[in-house]
Amino acid sequence: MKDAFIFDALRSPRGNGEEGGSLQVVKPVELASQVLKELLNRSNIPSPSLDDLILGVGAPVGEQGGLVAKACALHAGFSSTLAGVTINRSCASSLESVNLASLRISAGQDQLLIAGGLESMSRVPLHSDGGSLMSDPQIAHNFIPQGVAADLLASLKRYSRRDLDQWAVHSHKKASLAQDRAAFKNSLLPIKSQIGHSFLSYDELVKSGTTMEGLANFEPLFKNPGFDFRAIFRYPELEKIAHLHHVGNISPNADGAAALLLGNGRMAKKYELSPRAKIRSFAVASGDSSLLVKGMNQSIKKALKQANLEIEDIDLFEIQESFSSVILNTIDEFKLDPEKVNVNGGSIAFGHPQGATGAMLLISALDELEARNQRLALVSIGTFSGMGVTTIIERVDP
Amino acid sequence: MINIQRMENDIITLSLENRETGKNLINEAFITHLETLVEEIIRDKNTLGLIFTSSHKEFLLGADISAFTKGKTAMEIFDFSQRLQKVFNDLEQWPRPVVAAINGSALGVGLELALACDYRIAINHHTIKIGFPEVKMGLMPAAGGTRRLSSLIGVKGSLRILLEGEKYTPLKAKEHGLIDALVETKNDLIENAIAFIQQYEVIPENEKKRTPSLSAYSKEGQEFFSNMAAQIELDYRGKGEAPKRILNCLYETSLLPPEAASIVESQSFAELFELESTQRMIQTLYYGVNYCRKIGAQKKDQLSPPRSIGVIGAGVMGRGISELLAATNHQVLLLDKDLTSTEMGRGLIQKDLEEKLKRNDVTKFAKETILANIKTLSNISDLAQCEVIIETIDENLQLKKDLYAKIEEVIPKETILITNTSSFSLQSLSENIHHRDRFVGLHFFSPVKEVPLGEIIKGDKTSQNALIHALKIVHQLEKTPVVIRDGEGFFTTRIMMSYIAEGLRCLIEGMSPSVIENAGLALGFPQSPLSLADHLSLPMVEGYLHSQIKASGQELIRDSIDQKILGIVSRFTQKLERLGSRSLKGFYNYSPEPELCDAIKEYEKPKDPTNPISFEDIKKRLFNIQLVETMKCFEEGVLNTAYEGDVASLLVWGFPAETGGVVSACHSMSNELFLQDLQAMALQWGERFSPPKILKTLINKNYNSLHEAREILADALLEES
Repeated sequence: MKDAFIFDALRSPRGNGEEGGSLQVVKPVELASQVLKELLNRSNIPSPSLDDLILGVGAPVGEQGGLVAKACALHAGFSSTLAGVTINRSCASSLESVNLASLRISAGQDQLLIAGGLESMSRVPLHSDGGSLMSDPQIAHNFIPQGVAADLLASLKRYSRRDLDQWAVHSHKKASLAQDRAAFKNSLLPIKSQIGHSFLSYDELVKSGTTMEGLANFEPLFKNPGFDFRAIFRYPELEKIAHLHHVGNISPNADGAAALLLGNGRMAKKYELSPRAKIRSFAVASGDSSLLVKGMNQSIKKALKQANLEIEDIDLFEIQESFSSVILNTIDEFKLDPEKVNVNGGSIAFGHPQGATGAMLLISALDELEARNQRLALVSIGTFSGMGVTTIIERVDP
Repeated sequence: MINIQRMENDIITLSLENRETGKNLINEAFITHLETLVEEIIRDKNTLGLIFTSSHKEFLLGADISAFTKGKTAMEIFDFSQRLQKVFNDLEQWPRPVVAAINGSALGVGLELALACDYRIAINHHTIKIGFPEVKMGLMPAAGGTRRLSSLIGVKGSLRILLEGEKYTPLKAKEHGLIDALVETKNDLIENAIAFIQQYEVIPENEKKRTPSLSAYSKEGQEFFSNMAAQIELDYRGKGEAPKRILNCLYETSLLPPEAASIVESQSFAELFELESTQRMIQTLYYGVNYCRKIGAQKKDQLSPPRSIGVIGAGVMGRGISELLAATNHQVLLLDKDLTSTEMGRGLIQKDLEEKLKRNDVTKFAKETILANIKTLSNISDLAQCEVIIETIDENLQLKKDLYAKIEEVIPKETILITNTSSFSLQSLSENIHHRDRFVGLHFFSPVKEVPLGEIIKGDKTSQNALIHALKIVHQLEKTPVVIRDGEGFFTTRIMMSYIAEGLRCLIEGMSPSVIENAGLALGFPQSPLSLADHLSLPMVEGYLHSQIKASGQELIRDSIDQKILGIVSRFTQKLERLGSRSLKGFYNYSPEPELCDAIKEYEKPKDPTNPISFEDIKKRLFNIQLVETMKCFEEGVLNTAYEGDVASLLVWGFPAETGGVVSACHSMSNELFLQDLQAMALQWGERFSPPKILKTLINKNYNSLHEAREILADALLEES
């Protein structure tokens, strides 16, 4: 197997994914195209040399539907010889894109690829893609919304509202400190209009002033007797589900796009690129959908085993903060040092542009490994219906 | 069959009258006739409009279920449904105006026909019922009803109506959008129908009433279907597959053109029909209920209605019974311990009626009539004027016995004395009664209006006359009677108590109360064991357990499990003064929301890793104990027929309907495997699970023999009475 290297990576800022978000006026195709164009520009790569463009999208419908990756390639002004493929694994879509790119390179079938993802949730709202898993009455009898599942997890693990809120405050604080010291500047591309006016140049959802008192005012979001009982009949030791998650301790909807340039050693020489890291291993797994985390935990174990690593070997973790209980559980389950987890804040602070998040977490991990001069990072995302995807990257000596 | 009349104004009236079925029901011949007529009418260009009405008391009731259940294959059912769909579609697509002039009840297919019309007018009378009751028997509409209803009133309203299976008065039906206009008389009905037709040559598309569809592709639609799928699993657990199928049908209808939606509906219906759970529900809720009602109805002509009925006790049960009796035109004489209490009781009935009037549940006239029918008594001696007396005072053996003695002093010897006790045997209550032949038990359940069953208890001395009086009252209250032989807890209380006691045993063994409660709910019971105990009231549970211990001669065995169970309940009633849900404190706290109280959680012990007890184990215990106890009731002759056991179990404590009821559950499990299972359970959990003799007999003979035995027993009862 050949090494699959990451040569470079770039992302947009994360905009508020609700009405009035700064990126709402930007089409998802435009958003992604700005990132893609700049990624090739700064590496000096001609687009015809790319083998493919792999983009993850969470809701591949409407403006984001109909093979949006090809639309992005065309809109970015890339050569018509460049194809494009859209990947969907819900919240882990762009992590999946990167894993697929790395596989194609390792297998020797492709040499140079862009992998990433996009999501404009302010324009194509969450769940716009519908789907039988969630709403077909004959298929959905196992379905438990992730929010209820997160509350179930908190109930089983006896996390208190305080525990959950504390992590949220922590997340905002770390994110805000990272913003202050311009930790993201290498990989952050401000999004601009045609006439050069800046729409957004920073992650706008981070709130440096987040406090426990402020969060205490929010009402629980996921009360629903039907889903509660679905969960309780699987975990009958619970009398009821404690509804503890609210808008302040879950990842808010966001807009954004991100992309990585990946290739093999030959391409590094040909275009005089210095590899920043390589993909060590990746894995996908699935488990009880009512618990969110089983698939994710399993994918972490699988990826570690594939890479022949122990959890202690990992220097930095980027774990998707979809819900506070999920991150607390991962830390408990693997006995992680919280100081190594989401060191620059997580999705609770930044927001979660579904299809772009995986690539964004990889980018954060890579930048921070370099800043700290460390080697190994693990990125993991738990997603819809109990699935989880993990990728381990390792920095490459120049 | 269908009387056709062409009026001078070129409007045709089709008056439905199915003489074959007695009541206006749809059967094969009826459809054939309808098909022919509709085809002719549609071809005739001169006809200006069409009115459907009926020459019967009813407009049109559902399909004839007895024709339905006999030897039909799913394929035939599908074809039958498609035929109905076709003729209703033809009517709907015919450009001329069609009016349903609803002069009597329109249920099931009857309402589907009305929905295929362009306009629906009904006579505003509270005896007329309009709705889709199919779901209660595990079925759903199959003549385009799901599609037409959702396009008329929207998906959300349709789902509620189809799931609840409620039969509405015309007033309520209009509120729900099922009816367009109400009139007072039959003449007005036809006049209004003609007037509607004469407005139009052809009804323009934009004047047809429509509610925009809630597409499963919209965000709102997705959330709705997703949430409802979960909600239905919870709310209709144990009640068959129909609720889920109805939701699925509405989901697909929202995505499909009418032709395809029609196939989905017919397909769903045929599939439902084939399910064993549906067949069991039909067996009990149609045949079983009819069987029980027939016993009540056969007696009704032997007696004139009682002049007046005395109701003693103006508590929840007394008030409920009085209101219902008064609503069915009985003269009620209410008596509580003194005039103030009695007046207060009547005041509460008045208040209740006023609330109902606000919600349109009664008309002003009905409210006034009911109140006029309830008079208060100031003295026990006033009871002399009553023909029948119903006692509903607190469940206290001594109080009841003392009261009977006082009553007997003042009433003539032919007055019927009925007790609404929920647990004491007639024998224990009748010690002070001289004329025991007049004494009969009639167990109503709370809330009186909602629970559609009356459990009649026949004591050893109870006369035929007293029994008939009780049957007649149940019949007149439009409830279903079951006749049970006297014994502690009769049938319903005894089985419910076995379920509660098993829950308490699990608790004593240290299992988590949450797991016990969830096991009951997961089995499909509306109430979990501890919550049911709270609902019945803990003093009543305590009294029952106490008398059982007494009866079994265990009083002196101090540490028996039964004593320990009683100990828990007594601790709650006496030491903690927690009496159940009515006082908002029992095994649960009820304010603000029901939640297991700390005192009950104390019984949970840490799990024993060497002897893990699974959720499935607890479910099996809670379920099987009811089956064993039911078989014993059969054995002892407390229960006479399988139908009565099944019907009572479904209607009273919500035994999962898809099993057909507690006796059917015994039947479907009466095999060698179940026998061995019970023997193993007896070894592991206690003797109470030992298979009763009757089960062994059943298995040794064969399934038919039980059926025959049941029939023989039923015949014997009929002959006897």
